[in-house]
Amino acid sequence: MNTNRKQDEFGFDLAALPEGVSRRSFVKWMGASLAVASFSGCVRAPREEILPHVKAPEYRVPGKAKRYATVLNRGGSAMGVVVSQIEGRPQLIEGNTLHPASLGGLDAAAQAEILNLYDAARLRRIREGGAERSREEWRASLRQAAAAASETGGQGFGLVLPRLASPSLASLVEDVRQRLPEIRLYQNEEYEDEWLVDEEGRALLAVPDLGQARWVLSFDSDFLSDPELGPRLTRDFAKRREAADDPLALYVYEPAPSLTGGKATRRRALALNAIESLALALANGLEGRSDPAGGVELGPDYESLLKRLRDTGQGAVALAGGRLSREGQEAVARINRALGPEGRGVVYRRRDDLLETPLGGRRALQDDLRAGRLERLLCLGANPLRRLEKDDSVIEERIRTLVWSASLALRSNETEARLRWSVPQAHELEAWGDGVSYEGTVSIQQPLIAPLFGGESALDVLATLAGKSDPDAYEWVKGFWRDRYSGSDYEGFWRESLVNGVLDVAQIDFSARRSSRPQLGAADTKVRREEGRPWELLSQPEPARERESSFRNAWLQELPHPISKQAWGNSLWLSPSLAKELGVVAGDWIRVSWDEGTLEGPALPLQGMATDSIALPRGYGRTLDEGEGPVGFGDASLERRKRIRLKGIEKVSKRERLALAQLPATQEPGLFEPKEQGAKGHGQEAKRRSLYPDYQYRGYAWGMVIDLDACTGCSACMIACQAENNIPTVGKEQFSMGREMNWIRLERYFSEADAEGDSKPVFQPVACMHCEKAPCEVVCPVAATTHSSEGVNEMTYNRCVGTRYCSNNCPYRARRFNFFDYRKEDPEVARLQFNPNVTVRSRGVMEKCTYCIQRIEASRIRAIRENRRIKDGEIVTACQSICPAEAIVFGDINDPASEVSKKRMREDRYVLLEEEDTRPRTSYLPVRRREREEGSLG
Amino acid sequence: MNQGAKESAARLDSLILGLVFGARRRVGWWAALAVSLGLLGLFVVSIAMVVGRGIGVWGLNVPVAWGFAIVNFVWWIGIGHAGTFISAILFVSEQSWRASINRFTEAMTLFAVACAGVFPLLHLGRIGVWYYLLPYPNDQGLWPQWRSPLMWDFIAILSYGTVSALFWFLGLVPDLARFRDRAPKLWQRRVFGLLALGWRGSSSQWIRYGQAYLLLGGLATALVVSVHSIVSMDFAISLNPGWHSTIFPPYFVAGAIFSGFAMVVTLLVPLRRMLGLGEWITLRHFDNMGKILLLTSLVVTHGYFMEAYLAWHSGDPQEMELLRQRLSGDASAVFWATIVFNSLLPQILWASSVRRNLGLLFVLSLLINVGMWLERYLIVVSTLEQRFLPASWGAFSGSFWDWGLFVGSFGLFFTLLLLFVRALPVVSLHEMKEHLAHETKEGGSDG
Repeated sequence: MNTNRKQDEFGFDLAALPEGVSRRSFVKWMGASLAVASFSGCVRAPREEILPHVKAPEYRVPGKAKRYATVLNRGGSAMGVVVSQIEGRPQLIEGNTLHPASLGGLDAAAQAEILNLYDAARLRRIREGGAERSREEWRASLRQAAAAASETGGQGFGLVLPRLASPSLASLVEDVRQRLPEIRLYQNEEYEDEWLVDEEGRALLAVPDLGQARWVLSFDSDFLSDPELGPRLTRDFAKRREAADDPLALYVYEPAPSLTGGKATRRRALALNAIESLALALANGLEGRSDPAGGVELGPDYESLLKRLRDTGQGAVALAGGRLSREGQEAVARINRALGPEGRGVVYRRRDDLLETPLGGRRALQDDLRAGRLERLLCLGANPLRRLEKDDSVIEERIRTLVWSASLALRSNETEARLRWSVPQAHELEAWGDGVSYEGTVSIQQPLIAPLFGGESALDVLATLAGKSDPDAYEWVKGFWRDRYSGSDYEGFWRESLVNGVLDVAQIDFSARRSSRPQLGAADTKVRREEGRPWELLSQPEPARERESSFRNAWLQELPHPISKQAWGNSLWLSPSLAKELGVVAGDWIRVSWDEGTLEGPALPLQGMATDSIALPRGYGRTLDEGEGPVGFGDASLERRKRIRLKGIEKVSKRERLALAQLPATQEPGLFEPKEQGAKGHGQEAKRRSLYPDYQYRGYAWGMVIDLDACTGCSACMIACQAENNIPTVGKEQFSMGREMNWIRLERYFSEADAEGDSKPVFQPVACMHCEKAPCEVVCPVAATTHSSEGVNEMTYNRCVGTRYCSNNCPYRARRFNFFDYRKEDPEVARLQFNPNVTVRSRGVMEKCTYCIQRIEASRIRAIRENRRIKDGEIVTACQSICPAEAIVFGDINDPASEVSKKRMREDRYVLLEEEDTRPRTSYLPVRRREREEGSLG
Repeated sequence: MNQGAKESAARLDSLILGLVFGARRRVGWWAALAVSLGLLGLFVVSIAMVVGRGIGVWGLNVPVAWGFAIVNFVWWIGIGHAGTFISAILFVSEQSWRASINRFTEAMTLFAVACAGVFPLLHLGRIGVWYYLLPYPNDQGLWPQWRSPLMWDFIAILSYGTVSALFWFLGLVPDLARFRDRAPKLWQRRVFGLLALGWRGSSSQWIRYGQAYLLLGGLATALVVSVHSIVSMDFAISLNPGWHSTIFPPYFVAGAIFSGFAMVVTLLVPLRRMLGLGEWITLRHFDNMGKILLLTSLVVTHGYFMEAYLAWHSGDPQEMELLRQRLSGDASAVFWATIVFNSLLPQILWASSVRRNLGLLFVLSLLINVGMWLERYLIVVSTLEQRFLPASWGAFSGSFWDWGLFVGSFGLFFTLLLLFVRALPVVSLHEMKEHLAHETKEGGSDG
């Protein structure tokens, strides 16, 4: 390892110095050459002419990031992002402010894609049955397979695709279909949620218009953390809520606490079945059917909801979660239809209208495999063979006897391991492409770096399959949009599109994600009663980690779940009352059983769970790296069925230490609550007397305000900070010991239980407060943490000796300590992600939030060169930049006109732990309790 | 000096000389040394682990960034206090009964300080740059942070160690000269001769010796009070509830003397029998030490009570929460054990029969040692676990290497102590002779 680094640094092998040179002679020659050098004045130059790097190539400043707009495919929708590239290395993913799906915000998983790019476990070689093959051999084999299949019109050829977001890729699929008309296409979705379809059978995505709606009614829909819609809806939601005169009510009925539930004006924890019954009855009632509830007891909310829906009319929007059955989905759509024409508050958009006909899913593939209808199989970036359920041996046998099969994948997976050819896939940041967002915006996907491991993109493979000679993705994408361009200056249009990251729709003849009407009437409308105790086991969506690429991402694994605060694993969530009944505490194992199976695992009592529901975060039970045990646990049939009626629950005598970022005791409702509006904040903190004079700030004075009313707790800021500031992950064991390194944490509390005993999660981001009277500064014996002339509490890593007194004396516990050299295990390739403007910390030093000091300095350099002051809003910290809710504002508090100063003027602003008189630079705006403004229901 | 005193002095003389120069085989001593060396090995391995792999091998985390190392440091430093108390304060206040035990307790102090000194050093995240703590001139003009109690602590411990060593050595000089004169082998005579610094026993030397000893005694007296006061400021200066308290300095000093005397009793009871020192280390000594234990126990108890009272009286929610955790929360087991060992059990010392029952005293002193360690654990660890923002609360449990280093430090302590017993006069011969002469003049002792 060490010699490797030396090689990297010097570009040649130090050990390869000529042998036989003794130390004496070396010193002698050194002395001699020094003497010669001092006579001649210079060292001998090579004979050939070499040129110094005096005039740098234009736009190239070492250490300075270039930013490129591109898109990432988030489950079938393109998300506009801007990627910072330093010295040719993509380093950071941020949201694209011009892209309507992002508007600058981004969720945690999309940002963490940067780590997947540098994943050392990515496939690196093309292999056929284990033997290494060249790219030419692979292409030849692919062409041959296509040619052989085309003899029968493509009969027996199966092609598995992920949900497409790329129009140019879709057009290639159509080309392939033209060449091989009998080809069988499958669309592999990692989680087959229930979707409504329109008359053409296209799956529909319900997109609420939060600008129009006055009342959103969520039936288990956690739309704020949706990977496709979340960033945009969070922004809309926060904006709408800021306008205080027109309150947007949000009612959430859900079995398990969610981020959306945390923002609700009214939240009720109900079993999934009860939620469906409620939706069905409301739909029946609105449609004027007789006996809408079918004699089932619906609880106190039903009557008042029905009345309010009638009163609100078109201003009300109902949303359904993916866990609801088809009946439930239809009922919610019927509510919307009964309220008025669709499109006022909610738009149903086609999720997959890029292809001419919709594709079969994973089930269709398994059926075809089992029936032996396939001879050749090609999987492009899809892993359909994960968690094969029944008839495993039949399908395994069929796969073994396929004539030809190939997988294109980033990493080894269940499908890749079974197919004959394994081809490394180029990452989204390595390949040309394009993408259309959930609402139809088109963007070009630009590669930020040449494929690190020589991968191919799906576009390359499909072009070959379609019989294109010399496939070139760049030309294909550019040509695709040239064909649809209606203006006169395509080159200019192309350049502009790349720069902005969005295509101007006015200039192209293309439309996708059109709005449509759900086809209703197939499902039962009767409210059904379930007998016995309504125990249910639910598959809980885990937006940050459920997808295969996200799951194997250390940043995301170490990101505590926003609500359960668990990292590196999952657990069976159950309500505190059920836990009490069973006599279990966090970490105790329980066994749940149903007709066909049982499941055992650690329990986690969680506030806000419906009394008789048990939820298991989905996607777990996979390994991160070969040879390691699985992370968490899961059940294939649960993930498919999403809800299982349970026969019994019992305690098992086994315990496990869960990696929890917060003690279970912090779930107590009302234990500690971010201040509320009305509970008089402190616009100006009372200044107590001090023996030491106050600091004077003549220039800038940096400060931050965090709006807790906007914050949804999505935790995207934690990943943004991690990527920007080279924060290491520590792994499950260290995490369990309380040694996580995140500089900013999302504190989760539960609100005081309301009259009906329900409690919602509330969040509080906490990082270093940069106190005016910082307790950490005075106790450091070596003055390694000091106050800057601009009020930033600075950490000098190479002065730190590691007494950790600063951490003990920080009432916010905002400091993190390098107990080990957490970077030691990092693979070489992962280091490419490092931000060169931030020190990588060594063992034994303290670290913490710096207010992104490197960004402050970059702006300062720019301002000094342009001979001006730093403008307000010029410095954007990493957490601020990514926040979909725009909850974080940073700037100069010495400038009364700055945004942050204006927020600081607000009456209800307060600082954390004011009684400690630390006078923090970061202050908070309180959570507004709209339940009271609105008055309670009924 | 009468005949009895003379004989007693002669017996002591030959006993001490025999301990060092005698040919008797001492199986017990060798066995004890073997055990100590084993523990010392554990100590060395534990140090190697910490230095090599980082302090992550301990159970520390955020929020509990200080753990065993600080607990052990405070505990060992506290133990040292009894020695300095006996040799300095009792000397200055002319309690001549101290003569038979002061040499031993000073040695104990020194070894305890040696053990204690290891911990803050290992506790640093980056041991290699420990010298940043020194105020040395450098080209960057960097200076330590004088407002930090750790800086005061560093200096206090350094001076304490230095004065203790000097005081101990100065007291040894006349006895070293006697060893030089009586040692059977040439190399022994040379070594002791070198250490005796040319002591002749002349009147002028005795006068100077007396002056220097008194001076150092005075210095050490001040240090008894200052060292643990400053150690307590490591905590008191911080803003943590449970640490931020003005009661800490006296409370820590009393606690230190309490634990120190407990350790003296723990060590002297078996040592007295092992070395046959019963004639000189008498029940009167134990009786007196019992009284000091009782007194300091009461002071410490007062501290416990005032801490709780002030928390309640302040009405500060953070302080109240801390009190609640101690009385009935997660920290209650440690808290109540501390109360039983340090406050309740020592009350039996009101009875003089208990103070003179060595078996009972030995058991009690052991429990007090445990109790005082738990008290420090309560202060350091339990206070850090659950403070301020509940989301940042954490828990701590010592790792194998935490325990390894703690248990191993006994190896260092006992190894040094056992070597001391066989290499140097364990009782101050010249002071003892003086004491015996003095006593006979005054009409006997009660021992």
